[in-house]
Order: sequence, then structure tokens, then C-alpha cells
Amino acid sequence: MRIKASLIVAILTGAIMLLGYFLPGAFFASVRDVMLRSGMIIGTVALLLGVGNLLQVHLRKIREQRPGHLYSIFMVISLFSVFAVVVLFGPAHPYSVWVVSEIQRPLEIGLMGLLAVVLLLAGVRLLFRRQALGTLVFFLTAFLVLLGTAPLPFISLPFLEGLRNWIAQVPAVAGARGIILGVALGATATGLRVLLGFDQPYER
Amino acid sequence: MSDVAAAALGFFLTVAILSYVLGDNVLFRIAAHLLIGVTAGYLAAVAWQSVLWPQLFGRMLNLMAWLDPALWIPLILVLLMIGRSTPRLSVLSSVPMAFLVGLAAAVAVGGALTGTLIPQVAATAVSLSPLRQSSGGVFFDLEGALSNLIILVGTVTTLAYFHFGARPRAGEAPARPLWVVPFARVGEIFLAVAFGALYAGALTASLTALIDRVVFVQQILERLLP
Amino acid sequence: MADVRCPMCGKPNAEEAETCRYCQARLKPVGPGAEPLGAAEPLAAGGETAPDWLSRLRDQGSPTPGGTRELSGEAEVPSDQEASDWLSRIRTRADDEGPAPSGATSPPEDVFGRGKPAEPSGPVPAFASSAEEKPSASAATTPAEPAAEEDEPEWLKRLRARRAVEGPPGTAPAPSFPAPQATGEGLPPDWMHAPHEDLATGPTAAPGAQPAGGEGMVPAWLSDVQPPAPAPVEPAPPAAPAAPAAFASEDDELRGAYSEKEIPDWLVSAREEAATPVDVQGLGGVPAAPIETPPLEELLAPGVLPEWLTAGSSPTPPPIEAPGEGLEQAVLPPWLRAMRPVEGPLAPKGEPGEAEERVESAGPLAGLRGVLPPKFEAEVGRHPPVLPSLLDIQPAHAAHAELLQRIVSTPESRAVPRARRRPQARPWGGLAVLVILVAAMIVPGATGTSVFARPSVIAVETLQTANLINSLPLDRPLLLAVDYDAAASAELEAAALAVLDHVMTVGAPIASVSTRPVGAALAERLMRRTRAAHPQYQTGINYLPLGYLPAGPIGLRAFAANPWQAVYGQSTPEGWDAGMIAALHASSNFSAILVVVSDPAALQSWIEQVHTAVPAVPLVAIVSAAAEPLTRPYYESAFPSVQGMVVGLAGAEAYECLNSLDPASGRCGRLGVADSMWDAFGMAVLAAVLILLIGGLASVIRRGVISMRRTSHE
Repeated sequence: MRIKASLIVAILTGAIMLLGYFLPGAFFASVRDVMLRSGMIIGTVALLLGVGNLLQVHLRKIREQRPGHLYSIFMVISLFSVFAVVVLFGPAHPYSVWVVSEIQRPLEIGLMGLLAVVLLLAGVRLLFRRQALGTLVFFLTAFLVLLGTAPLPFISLPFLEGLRNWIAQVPAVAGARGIILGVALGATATGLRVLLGFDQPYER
Repeated sequence: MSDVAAAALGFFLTVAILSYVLGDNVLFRIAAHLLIGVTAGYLAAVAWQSVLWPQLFGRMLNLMAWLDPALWIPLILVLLMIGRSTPRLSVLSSVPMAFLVGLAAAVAVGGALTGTLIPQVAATAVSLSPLRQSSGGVFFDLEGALSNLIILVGTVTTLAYFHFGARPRAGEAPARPLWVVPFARVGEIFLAVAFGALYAGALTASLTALIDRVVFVQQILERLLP
Repeated sequence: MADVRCPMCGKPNAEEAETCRYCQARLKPVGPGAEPLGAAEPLAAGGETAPDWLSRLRDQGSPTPGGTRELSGEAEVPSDQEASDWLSRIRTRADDEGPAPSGATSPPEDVFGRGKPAEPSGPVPAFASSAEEKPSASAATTPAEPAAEEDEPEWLKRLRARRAVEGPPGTAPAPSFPAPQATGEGLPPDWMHAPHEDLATGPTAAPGAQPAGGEGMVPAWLSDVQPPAPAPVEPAPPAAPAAPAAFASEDDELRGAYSEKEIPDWLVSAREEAATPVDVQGLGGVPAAPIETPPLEELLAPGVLPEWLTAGSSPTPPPIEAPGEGLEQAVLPPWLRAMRPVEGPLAPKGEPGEAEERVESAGPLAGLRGVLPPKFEAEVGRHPPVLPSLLDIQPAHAAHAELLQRIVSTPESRAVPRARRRPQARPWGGLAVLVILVAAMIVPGATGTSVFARPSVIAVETLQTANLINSLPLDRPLLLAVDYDAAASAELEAAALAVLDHVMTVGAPIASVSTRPVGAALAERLMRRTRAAHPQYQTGINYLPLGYLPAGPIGLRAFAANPWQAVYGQSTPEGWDAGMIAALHASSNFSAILVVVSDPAALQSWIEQVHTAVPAVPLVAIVSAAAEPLTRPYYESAFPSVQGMVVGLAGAEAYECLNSLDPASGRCGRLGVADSMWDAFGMAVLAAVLILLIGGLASVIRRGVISMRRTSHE
């Protein structure tokens, strides 16, 4: 394994951060503080580089007049306009809030609403394509939770609410806890591989 | 006036997005590209306004701030990162990324261990005894004991389901060890319950979003129509 | 099985083989009844026998008009008997003459033995050597002579007779090419040139039989000769119109043998095409004056001699110089010209003149000049090499090839059809679902009715949240983390507004932060809507917007260590309360953390990075219904990381009604956002359940029908 400067930096950085969990001294605390704030700035620059790449792609599309470049014009104009407004007035200014409330929010909520149609169609097709015990349990659970979540007209069935609560608190928690533990184990293993130098995702 | 303009804009955008039900069309594409542009522009502006200027470039104007390593260390790293496109500096451009990855990995490992693994394992290792003690004395809680048992069995079997280690066998497809199979089957049922609850929750949330838009459009139409 | 030796290369072949497997020479004659020449002699075990006819011929010195078959225009190798006869004459003549320079005249002797017979000057074919070594064998074959003689063609008999008159041939030297040039007695007759010419130029309409005779004499055999036997069935190459000029000199001889009526057509046509520099008096007339034999170099010109004779010559055909009287260069047909290899691997290497100068010393070509060195010993058992041919490409062919090359190399010029879009799925299903849902959502608002009951049982986690808010200290700020996207704002704003309203009612200061870029704007939306009912909340006084926290878990870890430094660094906004700012320098100063999330990963980050750093600070979560299953495990624990939860619109409705429920009407006293959506929410969920139920049943029935049909077909 070739020793590179980036590898040394990654391992050293990770070691110092992990030691902070066990050595709560002031020196390590200040070093960790500098590292964390530097990481925040680096992360923000990486975010800006991503936006820059997006802009570059669409500008090239406009310049070369590839199919769909008119949509890219919309994108570029809206990007620069919003950037100018937020930079000039601030993120919490009424103008910036107006952009989020009247443009971004309707669009994103509309997409979320479309998800309801897609989920219902997928649920209907699921029973047609795959009929297994797991599918039946899935369908039954969803059915009971929906019935227990929403109110019923003219009547009230506490039994349904109680059943829905029990499903959410016991079997669903068991399954979810298994998923969460599995994800945490995977994240730990992946992080240790990076910190020990076995994986180097920062190398090209 | 601004309310009318906002309402009209919101109406147009809502209709454009919901028109996707009929298939991909020009209106939907315009709306989607508009969303991308607005989001990216807002993101870039907030990144500059809230982070880069106050914590880096704005501080550079203060000479005393140069004594703070939290200024020149990230500045060097930023310059190295920007120099990624330069052939000479591209060799060192992996250093800031390595720094960020190492930092994120350590934070993730520490957080997963202390925030999820240990507490969740501790939450699973609960007493299965139906006898509970409280200030009023000892009482029999069968439901609680059964719930704890179900949670324990469900958690263990769900973890067993994610065991994908298999030994290759001559003439046959690789398969799980035999002793894992029954646990995995039970874990599959618990996973189906969890995913069913997830599906119901996602459907509920999306229906709420759709209600918001439909009610909005309804209110606009009520204003316009006599 | 006795092997048969090839007359050309001398290699053994199977008896039944018709062509030599090494040099592709014919081993058996194409005509019926003709005996193969030369090597078509069975080899006895351990010995080589000379054919009877050869030995007789050698003894008699009688020429073998081997040109008969060649005259008939066949491109095959002449019959073995004929070939060996004239070959032996050639050899004899070559021995006498020796290697002669190009253009030199050869001794006056023809290949048919006029003059001294030639001694083979090198390795001779087996049949020849055996003929010399075993004269007894030839003597033993004498009794077979009569039988052999009876089998001989007529012309051969007459030839023998003439030889008998003229006398036995001496040891004529083997002719060396180019050799026959001199004219006069003993020289090969002019008609002898014809077969070589035919073989060189291609299958031409060779003239008829060329009698062997002295200059100016019409051979007796020719005068009596009968029309030649019909050509064999084997496909003969198409006759070329060209006729060698040499035929013109032989017309007088031919006339002696043929009458006008008996002249075959091929001979007539050849005569017509041939140039006649020499006045032919007629076939039956007095023989013409002695015809001068052209020099051997002319015979070796590409258009004269067969290729197998001129193979050793220069690869580039030497220019035909001084063709001599009566000789006219043959014209190759275009198609044949194109096939003629200009170069080949058998082309002799080295100086062009070297191949010409080398005299073959063994084999049937002994004495010939310019013969290729024998390589066949090295190629025994190997397939004949694939000869690369650099063809003589005609301009038309080159143009065609170039056109083809252009067609192949030119990229597709015609418009490539645009990739057909995959036909979209019919939108009727989605449209129908959308219409049903929209109709269900509109009905309560349109009718103004409210038929859905409010939640009567408040969830434990919601109650705990309310209790926690009620117990908040007023000297420390509540941290409001707005970590949801605009898409989930419709659902989460209802719960967040209800809880915030409760917090503001309690009077606890609030500090807001977000790990999402739009979080600041969404937090401002929340504050703007709640400040309407609580105008005492002012920015910098009891509401501190801390802004955006970048880099996810890294930023949260930094925030947990020092919130103020993580957000604002060293700068301080003007007009803010110093006490509040001072409280923000440590995350433990927060009274509680109220996290509003739509994504379970966001809550997990807050728990792992902030709550683990300050476990004493209670954490309450307002989560979307979609995130509830994966966030509830943090609450459902003996040591919960989350002390309270408000889930989705139902939780918001429950929270709104918590303190304001009117028992008489069953409705909440204070209408909130969740309450305004509650009826539509109930109708929408009911419609969704019915869609799932009916659609699911239909799917099951349809699947069953399809399965039944499939089994019935089977």
C-alpha cells in the first residue's frame, strides 16, 4: 500500500477525532474544534463546487444548443436570480422567504403529492405481481395502519387506533430496530475501513 | 398585488407539476428545471452568505484573525481543493478531500457507536420477566413481557435476515448456513411489518401534501369563479 | 500399393492419383487410352524401371511429337509419353549444345532427335537414368514393343519411320533455353514453337498437329495424318483469339498433311489469326524455304513459352526484343492479364539475371536455363503455399475497388432514425387515482361538512411532549432545529405550529438552526405565522435565528461543542441579547432540543452527534408519518434518546386538541392548520384504503384467472 500524504491526513484526522471520545482534555478539544470548523468550510466549498458543475453542464448545453437547452435556460436564469436575491437580502429576508414559499414550496409539495398516486398504483400492482407471505403481511400491515391513522366517518373505532399503535410500537419497532442496527454496523465498518486506510474514496 | 401574483404563480406551478400524471410534457419540464435552479441558487447563496463569508473570507479582512488556525488551515485546504482543476496542484487536491473523509468517517463511527449501537442494543436487552416493579409494588405485566419478547425476537431475526454470508458448494448455488435459514424467515416477516408501516406512513405524508395543493387550487378557483 | 513418380518433380505419388500432390502436375493423361508419360510408371520395390517406350525411343532416337496435344489447344501437360519423348530430345539437344548465352544460337538440332542425341548433364529423372542403367530392361521390353507400337498414335509411328530413315539420333545435347535459334537441318521445326507459345499465352486455339520434320520438308506422317482425336471432356480454358505468328511458318507443313477439306476448324482459325510473314505455299505444296528458327530468348518471352518453362526466368518479363520474322507477340485477354501474378514467392531472389543463368542439371528440366531450384524436398507433406499475388490491377478494377472502399469507409450518411421513445404507460390508472383522491379531498370543503371525529385518545409520546413543553425553564433558550424540506412542510408545519404555539404560550425563548439550506427560510415562515398570535417574540430578544449549519454530522458535532462558534464564528449580530448569546456558547445551556424532521437520518444525526454530547438536554422530535417507523425505536427504549414525539398530521391534530377540545362538540377549541385539513385527510385516507382494497382484490382475481387459463392450456 503506497503511503501517500492524503492517506496520512485521513488516518491522522480520524484518529484525533476518535481519541476525543476517550480523552476529553482541553488540548484535544481545541484541536478537534479547529478540525471540525475546517471540515464545515471544506464541506461548504464542496457544495459550491457541485453547484458550479451543475451550472457548467447546463451552460455548455445552452452553448451547444443541444436538445432541451431551452429548459436549461430556465434553470440558469432562476439560479442566478435567486442567488442574487438571497445574497443581497439574506436567507431570512421576506424576499428570500417569498421565493421559498411561492416557488420552491409549491413545486416540492406538488411532487410529494404525485408520490401518493404512485404509491397507490404500486400497492395495487404488488398483489398482482408477487403473491407471497411477506407480501400479504406487508399489505395487511399497511391496511391496518392506514385505518388506524385516519379517522372514520361518523364512527370511531378505538380498537383500530389501539391496534395501529401496537403495530407501530412492537413488531414495527422490532423490524426497524434490526434495520437501524444493521445500518449502524455497516457505517461503523465502513468508517473503520477508511480510517485504517483500506478504502481511499478520496483518491481519483 | 403580490398576493395575487404569488397565488397565480403557485397555481401555475401546481398544475404544471400535477400534469405529470398525464405523462411527461413541456409544462412539467419547465417546472422541474425551475425547481432545480431555485434550489441550487438558494443553496449557493446560503453557503456563501452563512458560511464562507462570515467564517472565512470575511475574517481575512481582520489581521488578528490570521492567528487563528481555524482561518488559515481551511483557507489552505480550500485553495488546494479549488486547484483540483490545475495540473500542478491536482496532485495535492486529494488532501482536503482526505481530510474531510477522515473527519466524516470518525464522526460517523463515533456517533454510530455511542448514539445507535449501544443504546439500541441496550434497548433490546430488556427483561422478559412479566413481573415488574414499581413504586406501588410488584405487578404482573404479561403484555409488556410479551412485547419485549416480540421485540427481542424481531430484532435478532431481522439482523439474521441480513446475514448474506454463504459458502460455495459444489454443484449447487451458494446458500445460507442451514441454522440461519429459520431465523431469516422469521426476520422477513418482521421486515414486512416494518415496511408496511413505512409504506402507510409515506402514503399518509404524501396524501397530506396533495391535500395542501388541492385545497390551495380549490381556494384559488373559488376566488375566481363567481 | 505401387507409387507413381511425378514427371515434373520426381516425387512419388499414389497410383490412383491424377495430379501430383506436390507440384500439381498431371500424372495421368486426360485422353482415353493414352499412357501417362514419364513418371506414371509403377515403381517396383527397391528399383526403378524404365518404361519400354522410353527405352525404345532412346534407342531409336525417334522423336516424339509431343506437341500434338499441345497443338490441339489443351492446357494440360502433354501425355507422359509425348512429353518424355520430346523432353528426352530436349535433354539430348541440351547436352550437345551446353549452356548458351541469351540470344546465342543453338546447335542445329531439334528436340526430336534431329542431330546428335543429348546426354543428360545432370541428375536425370529416374526413368531416364534407369533407361541408361538398365539397357537390359529396355531389351526386355522389346517384346512389348510391338504391343506398344500398336498402341501408339499414328503420327508417332510415322515419326518413328522417318527417324528410321534419317538415322538414329546421336547424343544430342539437351536443349538449353533459350536455345533453339539456328535454322537448318537438325533444328526443331518451327511448329515446335507453337506449343510453348500456347502455354505461355494461354489456351489459344492452337493450330493443329505440328509435324516434326526437317526444315522445308513436310513430314510424311503429316501428309497422312488423320484428324486428331476429339478433345477430352475436361474443361479446357477458353481459347484466346491470339495466334502465334510462328504458325504462319508452319502452314506449308500443315498443308502437306492436311487437305483443305480435312483442315480442322481450329487450325483454320489459327491460321487466319496468325500473321503470315512467310508466304505459305500450301499444305500440300512444295515445302517452303527453310524457316529461320527464332532465338531461344524469343521463345522464352512471356508470350511464347509456357510458364512452367519460363518460371526460372526473370520475374519481370523481359522486353520482347526483336521478335524476329514471323513472330508476333500474343495478346493476352484482359481477364487473364489481370490474373497473371506479377510477383510471387517463387520468383527467384537476387539479381534478375541469376535465375536465367542457372542451368538445371537434374530432372526432366535438366539442361534448361533459368529453372527454379528444387525446393520440393523441403515441402514434402506440406500444403502448397498460398501464393500472395500482386495482381496486375486494371484501371477498371482499381476504380471498382476504390468505390467499394469508399462505400465501406464512409460513415452512414443517411439520417439515423431517432431512437424511438419507449411508449409511456397508459396514464389512465394514475389519472383515475388522482381524480378519485381529488374528489375525496374536495368534498368536505365543498360541502362544509365535518363528519370525521377528532382523535379521542392522545398518544403517549404526544402527551410527553406536551408535558415537557409545559416544564421548560424560561431563562434558557429552546433550540428549534428545522430540518425538513419544503416538500414535507405541508405536514410538518401543522405539528410545528401547534408545538411552537405551545412554547410561545409558555414563554420560553427560542433559538432556531437548520442543517438544510432552506431551513432558515422555513423557520422564518414558522415564526412569522406564530408571531401573529405572540407578538412579544422579537428577533435577537427572545428569538435567535442561528442560520445554516453545514456539513451535516460534522457541523452538528461542532455545534454540540460550541453552538455560537459553529454558527457565527467571531461575529455578533447587532442588537442581540448578550445573555442569550452567552447561553449559546455551550449546548448544555439549551433547555430542550425540538427537532422537526422529515427524514429519519436527520434525527439520527441529531441523536448521535448532539444528544450524546449533552444527554442531559431532553430531545423532542416532530416527525413525518413517513419517518415514524425508523425513529420510534429511539423512543421505545428503556433509555430513550427521544423523550417525546409528535407524528404527522394525526399527531398535530391531537396536539392541537390537547388543551382545547370541546367535549360537547368534539372539536378542538382552537382551530389550527391540522384541524383545517382533518376532514380532507380523513376522506383521502379512506379513498386510498378503498383503492388499495378494491385494486388488490382485482389484482388477486386477475392473477388467479390468468393462472387458471395457463393451467388449462397446459
